[in-house]
Amino acid sequence: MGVRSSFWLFVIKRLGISVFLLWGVATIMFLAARLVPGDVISVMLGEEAAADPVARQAMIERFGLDRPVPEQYYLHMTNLVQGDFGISMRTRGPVADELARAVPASLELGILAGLISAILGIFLGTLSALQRGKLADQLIRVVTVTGISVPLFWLALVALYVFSFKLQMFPGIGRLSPGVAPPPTATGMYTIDALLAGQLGTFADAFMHLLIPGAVLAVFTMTLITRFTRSAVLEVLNEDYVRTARAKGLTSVRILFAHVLRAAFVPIVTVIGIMFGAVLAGAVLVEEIFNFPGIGQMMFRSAVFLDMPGMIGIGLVVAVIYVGISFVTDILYGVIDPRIRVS
Amino acid sequence: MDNLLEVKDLKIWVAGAARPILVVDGVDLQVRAGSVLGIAGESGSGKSISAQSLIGILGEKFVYEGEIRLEGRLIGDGGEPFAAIRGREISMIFQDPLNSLHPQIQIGKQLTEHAGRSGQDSRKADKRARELLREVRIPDPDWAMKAYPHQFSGGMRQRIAIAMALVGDPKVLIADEPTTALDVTVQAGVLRLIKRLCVERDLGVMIITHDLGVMNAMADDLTVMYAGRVVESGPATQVLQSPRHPYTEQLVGSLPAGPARDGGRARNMRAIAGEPATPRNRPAGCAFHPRCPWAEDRCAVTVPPVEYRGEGRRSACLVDPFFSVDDVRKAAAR
Repeated sequence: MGVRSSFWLFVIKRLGISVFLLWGVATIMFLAARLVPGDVISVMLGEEAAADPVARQAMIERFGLDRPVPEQYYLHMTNLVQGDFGISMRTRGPVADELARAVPASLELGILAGLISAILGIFLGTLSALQRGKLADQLIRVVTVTGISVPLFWLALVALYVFSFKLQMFPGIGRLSPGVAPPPTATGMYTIDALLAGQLGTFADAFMHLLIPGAVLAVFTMTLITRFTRSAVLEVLNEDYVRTARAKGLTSVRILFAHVLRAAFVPIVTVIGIMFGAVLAGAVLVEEIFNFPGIGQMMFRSAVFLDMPGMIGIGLVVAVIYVGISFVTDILYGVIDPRIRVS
Repeated sequence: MDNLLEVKDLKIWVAGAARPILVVDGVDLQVRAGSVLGIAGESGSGKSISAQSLIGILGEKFVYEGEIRLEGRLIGDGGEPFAAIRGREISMIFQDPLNSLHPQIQIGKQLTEHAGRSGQDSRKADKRARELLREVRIPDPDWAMKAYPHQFSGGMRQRIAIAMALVGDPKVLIADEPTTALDVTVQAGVLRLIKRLCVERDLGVMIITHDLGVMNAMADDLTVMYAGRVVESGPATQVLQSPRHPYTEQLVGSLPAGPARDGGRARNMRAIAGEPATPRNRPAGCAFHPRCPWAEDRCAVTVPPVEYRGEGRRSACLVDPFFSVDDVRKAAAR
């Protein structure tokens, strides 16, 4: 049996597990929504109208709340599968429409933050491990401790003040400067859409708007990735096969890239996958401060307005992102480490 | 007979908490082409560290001093850099084949990635890797090239490690405890392979082990180390049959059915009394004296020099309790 076919079997298996996980999350959210204390009907109708039994009854029937729970569950799930997340109580528009605008915005920001933190984190962590105990290592450790200790909202405000207000190096808040029209929608990510449409000016503007919030968002994850990379590389450096590589007469550059980092990548990929969750959590604060209309801001506002359909929609999107990331990490394990895909 | 690899007065220090610790103290070694030099000793005797220093892979914490000559050319400090020697002229295989191959890289890749330096193109390197796998008796070389280390048994992995060491067509192969981590049943196969390569390729082999049984089967010459010093050296059969140093004698005596001096009659196994000395707390004088039944007062004061004992044999013992008139007569008759 070829290595290749067992690899695809592995991918299909993980995909099945992912679908199962999402179904579980959707079910739990459905049940949780029924268990939340408080009268949904009263909230929707307002106090005056809720006192009217006829209006109440009409509302209950309209939302199917008089049907048995299994039937409600069936409707809920079929709607979800068709992409119907219900009507937001805050915007009075479909939740799906708001998500379609917010998700690409956050994705754009999250990918940039992820790239910054992964690239810088792996670089600094490796440098720190190779220079163990020396000046560079000490400096990097000071930086990482600072990065973990500083509150994100404070950093966001200071960055906004220094770079946008004082130094005027970057535009302030939002996704685009006033007067710049959004590029034609293809992916919903302004930088990519602008590039696809060939609008370089719009691309630059959108990118500059991403850079400061992206960097702020990256700080915390970058420090953690740095620390994990450092310890992973240090561990691999002690392995027998690294000594073998040296005994074979390979150059130290080749040993570092082809042997050490390759082995250290398994733990590093795990951390980067988990860290994406931290990016999402951090996005709530950062998006609100930078007035960036992504899912973090939507989550914050839905929670403040007690917008149940909005929150369920975001909850599901977050679940999809998490499950998607763990799927990708699992596949990456298989690509990086042959022992996992064969066993 | 000319020595292929010659080490003179090798001293190695390791960085310690307060000051550097001398872990190898004045070791001399000679490896001849087409023959096997065995280095025996307990763990902590400095045998592995000595071997690793010969290709310069000890790391920054270690400092060495001494003369390492390959075919007369000085290598290491003040001579040709180790980087130009290792893998090309001197190769090394290690104790644990389960960890000494990279778990995530295909065998073929691991066998060819260091071939590029000798100017071969990748197809040639590939062909050569297959030939080497055949030479070390890996059953299906074509399949093996694409496989990963975990798909092989320990013995097979050690054979692959040996093939990997042969890629650069080395003159010297250093094997550090090559069979210690293997099942007894596969040990013999790997040892036979090393011996065969030694003869066929006229390879100088240096084999490091604490297992005197392996030495008995493999080694042409034997050097016994204790606490970072050489205590005895000479032709393997003679050293094992009539040791001149009390430590060697006790080591041979601790074998279950070793080549006994009394002609191989069954004996009880003897343990060597006391704890092995470590470089960190090496006793003054002869490092073995606290455990030595023949020790005298002077042994605790004077470090015994390594002295000529006839017929290419050397030993470092002030008392020399196994001196025999027969030996002198034999030597005189020659």
